[in-house]
Amino acid sequence: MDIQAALNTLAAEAARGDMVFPTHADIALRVQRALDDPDCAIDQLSKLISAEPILSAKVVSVANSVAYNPSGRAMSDVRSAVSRLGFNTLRTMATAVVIRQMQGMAQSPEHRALAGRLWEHTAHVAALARVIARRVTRQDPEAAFFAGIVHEVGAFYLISRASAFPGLLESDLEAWHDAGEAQVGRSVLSALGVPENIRAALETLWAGYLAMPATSLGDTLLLADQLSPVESPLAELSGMSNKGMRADIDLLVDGETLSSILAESAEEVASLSAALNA
Amino acid sequence: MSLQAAEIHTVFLNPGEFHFGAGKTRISTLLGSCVSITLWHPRRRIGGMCHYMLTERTRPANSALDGRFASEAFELFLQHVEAAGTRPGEYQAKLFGGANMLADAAGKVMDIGPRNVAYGRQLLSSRNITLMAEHVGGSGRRKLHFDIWSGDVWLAFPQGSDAEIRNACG
Repeated sequence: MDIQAALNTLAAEAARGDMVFPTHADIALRVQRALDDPDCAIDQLSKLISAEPILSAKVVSVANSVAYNPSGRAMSDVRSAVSRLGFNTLRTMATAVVIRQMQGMAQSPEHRALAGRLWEHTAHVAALARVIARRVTRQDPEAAFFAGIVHEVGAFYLISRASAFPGLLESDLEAWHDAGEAQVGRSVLSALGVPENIRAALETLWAGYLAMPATSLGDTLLLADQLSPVESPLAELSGMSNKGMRADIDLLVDGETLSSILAESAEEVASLSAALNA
Repeated sequence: MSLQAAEIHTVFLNPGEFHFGAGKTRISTLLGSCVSITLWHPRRRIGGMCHYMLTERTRPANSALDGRFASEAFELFLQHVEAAGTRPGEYQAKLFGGANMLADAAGKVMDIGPRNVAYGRQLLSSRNITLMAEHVGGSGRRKLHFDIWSGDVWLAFPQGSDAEIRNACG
């Protein structure tokens, strides 16, 4: 099978705006549009979110995670959760639901399982990126969280459309990691209306050069990706797996080490990735 | 990774090589189980990089320092640090590499990488040089660029072992 031709087709159809999104994603996309409206009221937004059970559940569960609720005061209604999270985080949650639902578009159980593992990886990277942004790279934690949520969006699209290209995911995916991921990823990010600063961070991730010490939003994403305990399943398919031998990465950050910061933040990261995976 | 390529003087380090300098110089290398240490003087904006393959050896009398061995590569560093009128403790260090690249016939991973890393850390602490960052271990190869004019290090770490690189780079 000509992998490069398949990747070109995928990127071209995404670039033309011919992207196929899951039907249930409609409300999540409407939520995104509502968030773009400067006059958007919390009541109106809460109603819209309440109409979509998956998004409502996710919003409440993330609002109750240690990451957003250090005091431990649990809440169960969408309106309070919306107030606690703020619009930026809600935008991330709405996007997360769209991406998560792309998993359901995969035609075979094997591909759905692959997308499931990819989501697990995504959730870990997003939760780690949020902590690394706040404590290490001094970037906007919510931007880093959002970048983490969308960082594998090209791969989700690849898996969701894989049935149209029989044998694609069963082939050597080196071409995917060479340029395909960036090619398809760019088109999907553009179709989802992802802001420029997040796209720049993704470009750094695809180029693969981590600055030591890490400072930018792209570095935040690269660090989170390399530190994630769950690898992307596509890395395994393309023979890029670390085979359980992860790199040890450490940095001095104002007299503290990255490893001690991550140890302190382990509960926060675990609670957020668990809420995303729920 | 700013600056136009034309402005930059690039030095590529093969295993065992060493470079120390100043100005618009970028030192690059490719690492497997080998280790590179970068030393940078933040005020003087000078520094260098080594690329060693093994920790130490019994050095034959009257032989030159051999950068393939950590102890001798570090000695080369100390000579340049002194020649520049600086002291080791004024430098910032970063340490990279030491991947688990080589397996023996039984497929068991050998510990050359981790030993190289531990030895490098020891050398730095023996001279009170602050270790600012390290990216070590794992199973892949690393591409490294060190920009002497800024002290920045850029590291690409596509994961997974690669047979071709495994042979080309220690």
